[in-house]
Amino acid sequence: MAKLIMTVDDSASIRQMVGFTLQEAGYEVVEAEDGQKALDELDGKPVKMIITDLNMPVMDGIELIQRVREHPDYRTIPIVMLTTESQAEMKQRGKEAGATGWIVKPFKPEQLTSVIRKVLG
Amino acid sequence: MSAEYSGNFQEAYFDEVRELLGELEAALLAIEDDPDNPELIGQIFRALHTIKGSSGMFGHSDVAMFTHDIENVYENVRQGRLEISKGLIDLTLAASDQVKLMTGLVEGESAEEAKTRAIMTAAREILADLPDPSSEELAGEAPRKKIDRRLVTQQITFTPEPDIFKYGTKIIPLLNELRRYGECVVVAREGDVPPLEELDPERCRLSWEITLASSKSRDAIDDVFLFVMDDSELRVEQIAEEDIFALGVKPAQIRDLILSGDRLTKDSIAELLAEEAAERAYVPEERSRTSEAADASSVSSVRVKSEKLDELVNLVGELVVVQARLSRISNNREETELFRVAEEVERLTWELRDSALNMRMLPIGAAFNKFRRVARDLARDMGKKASFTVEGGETELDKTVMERLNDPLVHIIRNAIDHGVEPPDERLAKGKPEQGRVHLSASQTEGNVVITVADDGKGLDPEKIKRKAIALGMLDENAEPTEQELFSFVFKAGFSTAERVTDVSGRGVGMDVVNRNIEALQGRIQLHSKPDQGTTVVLRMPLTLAIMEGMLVRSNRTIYALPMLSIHESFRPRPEDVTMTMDKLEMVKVRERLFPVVRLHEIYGHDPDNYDLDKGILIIVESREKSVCLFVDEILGQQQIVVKPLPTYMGGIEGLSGCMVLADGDIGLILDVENLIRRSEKGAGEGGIE
Repeated sequence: MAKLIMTVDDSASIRQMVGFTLQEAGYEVVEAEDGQKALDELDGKPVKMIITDLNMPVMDGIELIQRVREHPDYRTIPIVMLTTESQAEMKQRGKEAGATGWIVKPFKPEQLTSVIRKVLG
Repeated sequence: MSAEYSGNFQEAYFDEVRELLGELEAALLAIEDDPDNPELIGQIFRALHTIKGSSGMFGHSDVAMFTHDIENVYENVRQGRLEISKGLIDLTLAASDQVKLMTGLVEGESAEEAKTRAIMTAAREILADLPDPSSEELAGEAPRKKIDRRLVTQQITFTPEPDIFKYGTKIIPLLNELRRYGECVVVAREGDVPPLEELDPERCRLSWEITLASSKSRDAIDDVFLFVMDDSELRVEQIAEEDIFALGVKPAQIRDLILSGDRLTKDSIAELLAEEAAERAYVPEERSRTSEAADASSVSSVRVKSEKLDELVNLVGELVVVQARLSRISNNREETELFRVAEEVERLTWELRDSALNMRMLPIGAAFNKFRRVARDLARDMGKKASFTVEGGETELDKTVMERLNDPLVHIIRNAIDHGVEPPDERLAKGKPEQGRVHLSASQTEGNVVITVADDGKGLDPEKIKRKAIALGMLDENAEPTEQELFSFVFKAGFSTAERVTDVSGRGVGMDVVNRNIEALQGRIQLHSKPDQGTTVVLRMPLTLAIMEGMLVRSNRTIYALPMLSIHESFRPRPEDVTMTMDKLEMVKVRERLFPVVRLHEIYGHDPDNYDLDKGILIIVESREKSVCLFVDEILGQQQIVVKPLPTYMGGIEGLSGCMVLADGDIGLILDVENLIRRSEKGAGEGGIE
């Protein structure tokens, strides 16, 4: 069965693009537009990995990562954050929060799939 | 990203930019009265940030670059290094208008480049006035290093921090990525793994030694560990300036060296290489005498009678069973030494088994070439023009399977030329090239060999098959069978033989016999056809008949095995889905389809645990012709089975194709699904044996 990956981003177009790329690569996708919605969406689903933006309204990516790392069912799943080229500080905060890896925007679909392969195998 | 690819998202992108610009303007107007409101500053920043991000993704790099500078200004505002001013708000509003123009959101107007540049310059001036322009990090990539494709050997020691799993990091993908780089020996050090009782499975106590021969730079290796570098330890050392595996060092030698002591060093490798070189300097002399003879035949091989190979496989099969017993005993005793030995025996047994089976494998190419002749002669005799091409001749297949495939394949190829490819004038009239084409190919997929015979002839006419099936009384007049169901009539006895008006083959072998031959080999046959485009016959054969992937089931005290290839699904029926037909045949409804039930215990005359269908398990098994539900007491699991012929004193038992030795030394029986299904067709009343 196809693995389920969650993509969290307040930008609908990026969500769509990530979602499309993942589906092309044979994954199933669940989307959420901010951290809070992501936590709500998780809800027992067999999500194997989260790809999240950092800057988002309501609950940002950093807090989402922290909350997932405290979640009894999901605390060891890989979380990859989407950062922009020079957000060195954000990246560091993301790592401290427990992110597995990161992808720098803008990225190509192949870069995304290669990162997924790196963390999901 | 290709234009086509991004095209799918353009609309979403434009909608999003329009929406974000709206939010941006609202926030800008609000902040005029409330310049220190962090929430508003955050909103402005986020809108700019998202516009930049999406624009970069969807090919609007001009917009991305433009917004980048403005976003940078607001990054500084967020950090408290810059204050909101009327001038800044004006500039940002102007920028917002400009983005609208650049993305074509304002109909009939386009952006003036001079204006764009002016706004960017203004933003940069604001940034330049700031004490520390930390935003210039993107100042171009590092100059490209010269690429060196020479292979070197590197020793990588990876000691993850114990908490690595808490960051969602998985180790195996990392190792797999290294394996993609080149030849790679991976050894895990157990280090300080505590005894099982104290083991915390969420902490990583292992470290890895990886010996990698590749052309990859240190940077590329670092990149694999990109996500884990911070707290984990990674050491990379070049231990040889060449690919040591190419120089004859064996993975096992590396493994032994690492397990026996410390890290591999340049010195220990140099020593190993020196030994290897010495050995090689010696060997050629030994060989030189025989080398001429070897050259003459180009392959050095030994001819062995195939019975001897069968005997070997048989013995290995028995060894596998004994080994399984040994493993079971060792698992029940907590003796480390015994356990180690049993493990080693297991590994060796499987290796032995693989190589014994391998000896029976032959490339299919030799057989393929025979068909070339068949096709050529036949086309000539029939006044047809057909090219015959082959592909995948290197694909290996068990010798027995290959031999028994010969007749069916000859028949299929004859059919392709006889019934498929049209005479030249007919082809020309249809606008096809005068010369037809028959293509034979083989490939290996997941334990199967797939052989296809494709022609570009006239194809099968489903309507014609339907009419004929009705005329022969094989199909109800009102039935609406699918195309595949119609094609399956071709395989029915008495169908295809009647079809052959011009029987060139003269063998009297119909497609029904072909089908039966293939299924006897545990294979599958399938037809694809389009009128006037041609027919493709696909054969899916197991690599070998000596080993079978099987499902073990129990009925009463007997263990049976079913070939996985013929199992469709298994389930426990609900009582309301079981019905009885007027001829007293049990049927089970599965998703609106009725399947006849075959009770295994009835065939072999013993009592089941329980006679009620809903207390046991039903397994849907299928052959080309039909599917039935086999009723058994229990499913025991899936395993590889070493198939042995039935002993002669048991010969001739209905529905069995062989037997196997179980791990406890008992005998299990391998079911012949095809036969069981045919039996069920005769009806319950007869219960007959052929």
